[in-house]
Amino acid sequence: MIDFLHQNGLALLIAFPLLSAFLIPLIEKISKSLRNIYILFAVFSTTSLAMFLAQSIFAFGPLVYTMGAQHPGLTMPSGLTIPVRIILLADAFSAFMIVSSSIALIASAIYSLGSVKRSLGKYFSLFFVMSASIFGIICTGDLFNLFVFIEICSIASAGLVAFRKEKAESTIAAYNYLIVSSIASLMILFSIGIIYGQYGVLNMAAVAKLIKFSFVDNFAIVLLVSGLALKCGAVPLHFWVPDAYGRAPSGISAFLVVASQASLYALFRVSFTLFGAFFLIKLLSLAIIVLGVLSMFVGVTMALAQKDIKKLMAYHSMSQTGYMLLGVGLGLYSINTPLSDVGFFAMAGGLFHIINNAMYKGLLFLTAGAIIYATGQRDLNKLGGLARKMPYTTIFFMIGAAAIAGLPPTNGFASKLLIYESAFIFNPILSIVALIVSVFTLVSFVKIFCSAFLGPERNEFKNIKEVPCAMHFAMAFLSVLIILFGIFPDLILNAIVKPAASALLNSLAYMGAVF
Amino acid sequence: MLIGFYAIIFRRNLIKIAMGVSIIASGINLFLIAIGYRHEGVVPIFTSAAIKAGEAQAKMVLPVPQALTLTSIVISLAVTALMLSFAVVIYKKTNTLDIKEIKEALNID
Amino acid sequence: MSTLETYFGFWTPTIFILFFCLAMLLCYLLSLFAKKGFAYSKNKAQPFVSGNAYSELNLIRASDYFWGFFKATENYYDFIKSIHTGLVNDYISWFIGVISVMLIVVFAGVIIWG
Repeated sequence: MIDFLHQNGLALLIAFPLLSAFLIPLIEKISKSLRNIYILFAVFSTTSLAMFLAQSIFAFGPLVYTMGAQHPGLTMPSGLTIPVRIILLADAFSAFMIVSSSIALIASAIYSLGSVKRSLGKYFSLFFVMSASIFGIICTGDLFNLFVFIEICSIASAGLVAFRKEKAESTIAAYNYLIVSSIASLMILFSIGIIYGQYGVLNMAAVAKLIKFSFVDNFAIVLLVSGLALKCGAVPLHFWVPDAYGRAPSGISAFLVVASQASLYALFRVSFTLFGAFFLIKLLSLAIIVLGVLSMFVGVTMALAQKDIKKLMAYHSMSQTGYMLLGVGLGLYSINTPLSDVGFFAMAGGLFHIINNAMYKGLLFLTAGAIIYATGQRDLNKLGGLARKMPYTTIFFMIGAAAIAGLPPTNGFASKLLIYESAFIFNPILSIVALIVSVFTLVSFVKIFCSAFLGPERNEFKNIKEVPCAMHFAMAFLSVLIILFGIFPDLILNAIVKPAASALLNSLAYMGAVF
Repeated sequence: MLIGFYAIIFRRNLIKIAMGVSIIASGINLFLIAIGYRHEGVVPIFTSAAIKAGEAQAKMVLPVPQALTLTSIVISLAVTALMLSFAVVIYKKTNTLDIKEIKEALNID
Repeated sequence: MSTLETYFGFWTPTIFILFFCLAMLLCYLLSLFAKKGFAYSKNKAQPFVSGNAYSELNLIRASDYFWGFFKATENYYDFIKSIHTGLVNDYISWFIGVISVMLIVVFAGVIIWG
């Protein structure tokens, strides 16, 4: 049984959520409580499969699954020299992203069980399709398969963003999101077509081996990097982020963070493994660093001026993506230079920030959703004095705000410390900008805390109650993990993050798993 | 493809923007099929007309880009359907299809 | 004892928590020297805002926080808020703009160093 899971686990990780997505409407016809039980079962089995696979990848090396072959490890059958089937390849960086996505998956799903009041079956169908596509983006080893999963993710998430269709704001936000996403995916498809036309192979490891950086390849590189940066929410291309994250139901906002991080995974995979030997890698890394610094700064200054809670948190999500781009961009910059040790620490900080961001940003979106669920009000000018009636939500919000601002014993401080110290060696200005952005982040969260939770009690909120248990469980789960990751940062760093960073830098191991 | 970008950047009607995305998708599909062309190639199916007497194997057009194009056509079908259904829902709520008027009607800042 | 090693030094969360608890203990010990029997709710002072008594509650809204900062950086905020329209046309114009800038930079790099 363990052997079966070990061999076929990657395909099961993508296939099982898809199967659940199609079974849920059928089960809903029988009874509603059976549907809820099945949803819990599906979430827990997907997460346990994901954790099992991640653990076996960290212990035994990259896992390969060839679709349609007689044996899953048979990548090049009958003496061919290039792999011809679609190959799912998961190395340590993919395992790291699998861990991060499954944590957010549990929290988001359990929260939604409590907060979505009608059409729960349709919601969870789309939710499982989205999670299957995210695992697909993370585990695939084939460029066109990456494009297909990115498109599935954008369609499913656009459907979920527009879920509350009694207000037209969600629908126009989803419309904008879908158009921007499909333009990005079409540009990605264009560059995949150029790469295929040049080299005749679509497998990422094979392209990494054969690539020669001719004149047309530069065009492909630029289109691929900009298309993926648009899907992540990097700054001059970020305009869809506040609308889409701000108007989605709260469980989905927490999960959209994971979808953006999956595109960030695709960006890093393409930059390090495919174009690692590019002679202009410094220009590419400079582009990523510039995008990162702009995202951090513009995100946080726009966030200070907002009045709507979820839009404010969406701008913060963009600014935290800037930290990840900065950290890993510095790692990319220093690939073959004498500063590569410092670059390794910067990359470790950026990658650690990915998993921390999924946790604390998810927690903050869930608490904002709890406020909106309890009071029905999204405008900060009209909220006040909620800490008397909702004490648990206040505590979870305080932990989340401390984590995002980088206050000590939370995990936000650990990853930001790595990024500050490593950025200082490259250029002190990067470190100064990162510190100023941290201060502004703290300022805007103090603003939300004081205006929403502290202060005198308002008349219209005299009768509000605390939110349902399921939402509390999800928020408590994330808070406990944040504090644990903060108290034992080096355990997490040595077990998950540093293998991921070295796997990303070592593209030969990636190619060696296929050939 | 440039016509599609012109439609998305300069037109304000929701449906015209969706049509622009569809035009860009058609352009890229044509590009994908054109990649697989081989000079004097035939359809990539093993028929008896393709294997002439005295030749071991005929020259065929590449079949993989055709598979990629079919997948891409299906995906753009789903995306266009979803975009048009969003446009229908927005029209029911705000009775207009112009994005500037929608922005004013809903007070999105 | 878990220690995070960065390139320059290290960070130990357990020692931080230890010192935090020590500081809390000191505060508690100091509070034992206070006057007993002081009823907080009876002796509350009325809040003052800019020298005037603050009689109506909920006058200060969240938009008025940090007003000095927003007034000082008004030019920057006008520029940034005018960029953030809600229209999808502008979003795609930015995308084309970024692609063209990156293409110019990459091809200039290829010509100079290629």
